[in-house]
Amino acid sequence: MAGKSGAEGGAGIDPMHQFEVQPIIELPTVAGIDTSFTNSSLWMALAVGLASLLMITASRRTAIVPGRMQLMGEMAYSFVANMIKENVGTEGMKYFPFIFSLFMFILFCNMLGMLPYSFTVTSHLIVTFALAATVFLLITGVGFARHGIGFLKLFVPSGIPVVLLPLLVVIEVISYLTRPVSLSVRLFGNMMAGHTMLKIFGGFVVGLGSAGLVPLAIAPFALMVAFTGLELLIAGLQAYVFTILTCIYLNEAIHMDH
Amino acid sequence: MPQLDPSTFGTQLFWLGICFVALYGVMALIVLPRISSTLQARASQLDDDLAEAEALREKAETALAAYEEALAEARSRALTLAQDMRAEVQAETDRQKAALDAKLAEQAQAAEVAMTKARDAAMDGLSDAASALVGDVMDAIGTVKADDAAVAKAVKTVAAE
Repeated sequence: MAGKSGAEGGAGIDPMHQFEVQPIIELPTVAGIDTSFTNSSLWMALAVGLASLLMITASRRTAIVPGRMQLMGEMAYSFVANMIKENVGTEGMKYFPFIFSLFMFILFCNMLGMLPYSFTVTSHLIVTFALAATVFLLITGVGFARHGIGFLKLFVPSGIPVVLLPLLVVIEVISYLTRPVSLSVRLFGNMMAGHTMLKIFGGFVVGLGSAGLVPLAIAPFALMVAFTGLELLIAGLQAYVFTILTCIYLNEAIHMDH
Repeated sequence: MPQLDPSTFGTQLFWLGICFVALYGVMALIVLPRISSTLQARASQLDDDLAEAEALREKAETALAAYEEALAEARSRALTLAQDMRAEVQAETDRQKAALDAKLAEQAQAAEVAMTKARDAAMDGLSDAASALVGDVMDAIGTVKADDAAVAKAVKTVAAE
């Protein structure tokens, strides 16, 4: 636990320490990019490995009547497939592998982050922003590919007085451009806040316990148990929210109905 | 806040790219096609099974219709058969009854004839006896000699009254 940020003297437990990226294997900087394998990389790889392992195992059997693992895999498939079909329609199924991978990646990163001493990949803004920016670029690309320059009509609301139009177009453009920000900050904020809170309550429990006030430590401990349940819910929910917002943005880019 | 340390951005983005592309590859190339084909196979199997069930149901319905037709035919045949039999029996009965009636009528007539004959004979006998008796009585009285023919005529007249 004695990281480089434990500078305040070790008495308190730094709730932000868990978010520090520390290299495990130092690797050279290639083309200006540090390629070091860090704890963040490790948990990303673990999330991807676990998700792949589970899904490959789940899809190994192709029985008509599914077993437990197969059913789980098919439920994950149908969950995301139905989300796309309901929000985008069948045209959206072209982007199904991407959206499914996105969902699985965020879900597994969030869930693995709930393990003690693990690293929550999605509690870093740069990671969630990279995901959101990928989604944003993909969707903008899809919009222009399907509608050409007509995609810009997305920013011009219909049935509005001409006087108000410049103002509204500016607002629409801003709201469109802030999408990757809101998408990434929502996931990052939820993950970081939850983990920080758990750490703070954990610090209370340890602090009160080591000060000999064990009965007083029961309250933060109970809260921590409750928050852990809540955090598990949030971990699943945020993966869902990120995916469904991607679907909604994709629908807008494909159908342009305002 | 470690999240705002730009020195870690490079490695995070680098490994995020590798990991996400790897996950995308596994999902897009292995997992999703497999699950998709399984789901499709199941759907088509279900469709096939439903179609087969529908065909079998239709077959069963045809068989049921044929059975009901045969049953109706058999029933109607049995009905006609019974009616024919009944008519035949009726005819036979009628015939026998008619024959019996004729015989009985004949016998009755014969009996009547015989009875009439017998009665006539008896009447004749009675007239003869009465004539004889009247002749005898007149003889016994001895006043008038009995004329047989007249007596017989008188007796017949009386008897006829």
